[in-house]
Amino acid sequence: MTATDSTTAGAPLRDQVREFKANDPGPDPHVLFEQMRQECPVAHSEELGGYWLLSRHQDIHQALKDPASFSNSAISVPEHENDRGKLIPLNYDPPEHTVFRIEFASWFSPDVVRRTEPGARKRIATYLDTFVANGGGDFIQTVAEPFPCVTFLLAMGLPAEDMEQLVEWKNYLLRTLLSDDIEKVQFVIDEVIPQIGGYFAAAIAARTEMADKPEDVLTYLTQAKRGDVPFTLEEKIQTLMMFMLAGLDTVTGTLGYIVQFLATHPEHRQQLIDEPELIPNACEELLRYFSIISLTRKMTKTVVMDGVTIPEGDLCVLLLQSAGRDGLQYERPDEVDFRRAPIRHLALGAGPHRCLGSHLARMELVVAVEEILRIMPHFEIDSTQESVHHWGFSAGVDHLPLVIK
Amino acid sequence: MSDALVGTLRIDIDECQGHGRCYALSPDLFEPDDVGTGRVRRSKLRSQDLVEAERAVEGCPEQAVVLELDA
Repeated sequence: MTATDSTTAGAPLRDQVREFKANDPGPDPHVLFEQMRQECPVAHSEELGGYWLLSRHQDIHQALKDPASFSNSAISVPEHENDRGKLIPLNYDPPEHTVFRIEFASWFSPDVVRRTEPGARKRIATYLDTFVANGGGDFIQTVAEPFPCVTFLLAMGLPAEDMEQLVEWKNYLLRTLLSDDIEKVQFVIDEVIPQIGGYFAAAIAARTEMADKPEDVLTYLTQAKRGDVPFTLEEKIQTLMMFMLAGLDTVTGTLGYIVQFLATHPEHRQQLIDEPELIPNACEELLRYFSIISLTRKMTKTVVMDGVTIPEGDLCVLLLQSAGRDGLQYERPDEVDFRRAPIRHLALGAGPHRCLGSHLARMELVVAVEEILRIMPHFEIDSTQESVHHWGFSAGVDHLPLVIK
Repeated sequence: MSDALVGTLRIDIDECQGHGRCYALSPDLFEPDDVGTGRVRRSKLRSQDLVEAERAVEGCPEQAVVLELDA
């Protein structure tokens, strides 16, 4: 009888996993993630050409730490041909990857970020003042998108007024390119990517010719070396392409979820108003709870994990989104506790590909929450409007209508 | 008595990936180098340092912070 029960109970899960599309997993995959963590922590989906799924914190961390088996030579399912060049440094494995990371390490260091902070604080205050003056509205459009994106573009040395164009290009690469729509995917490859490349090539050329170069990423890039060899133009473009994908999406996505949570949990919000010194740990807790990214690796060795064989050559998706709620890693994983310790989340990755911009991202999130609670401490969801968010390899909130109280 | 040394703190550089959690969580015991990799400020610990040391040990995503207590 037990066998029958487990078979009937297991069958729907197996079917769900088999049909799981990592680029479009439905409205709230956390219920499925929890079942996967418990019953099939190494699972296989037959969608998108077939790929493996890891859902437990420890397994994902092991994969992230083992680039010799879990390679970054493919970073999406289905695997895209690399005819448009490899993203730098994401698409490389050690030891080549290490050479790039050593070059980039100082560009987003805590010192650089500390110098950026006062400007970022003023910037979000300006956006929030506008938001309050309007009596609320779509928080994503007015604050959560422009704040991190403009902060990032200024750190890069790109014009803030190009934000909308760059965000549109970023969305083509992160969403359309990873969708099932073959015609649109082809449009991105044929039209959009060359446009982005042309834009970056022009920015690099202008900066190279500039006499007194400001201290920013674009200047560093004009002088960048791979070991002793200067970057080629193509390498500079592929670096900017990568930075654009990383810098124009993740903080917006995370901040959307954080503000949505604070809007719907007044007691948590009050706790941070009363004890603002908790805000940095609260941001860590919310990064754990709302981990927005899932990563893809390509198996360059056959690995046995939790008794399951993952064959060489296969693709494997690491559900960082699931790791943050793993009951083997956290007590009360589904509860948000701003005093939680320890929090050892993987929202910013781990291993050699740990988020290069993590210091910048953390500063932006902490400054954002501090300024939101200072300028507009009480707010709630505008129930007359629709909140919209998307899942996939990079989840995020698209529309977050708020009213100020 | 409370000044007696009770243990040693170090970072396993093979595991460290520069998350920077050690100096965020335990700033008296760790500091960033010029690119943001953590380094130990004070490796010989007294008993009153242990709570802060353990915070970094438990909070490091790579489990790269090593606390060795004297026997």
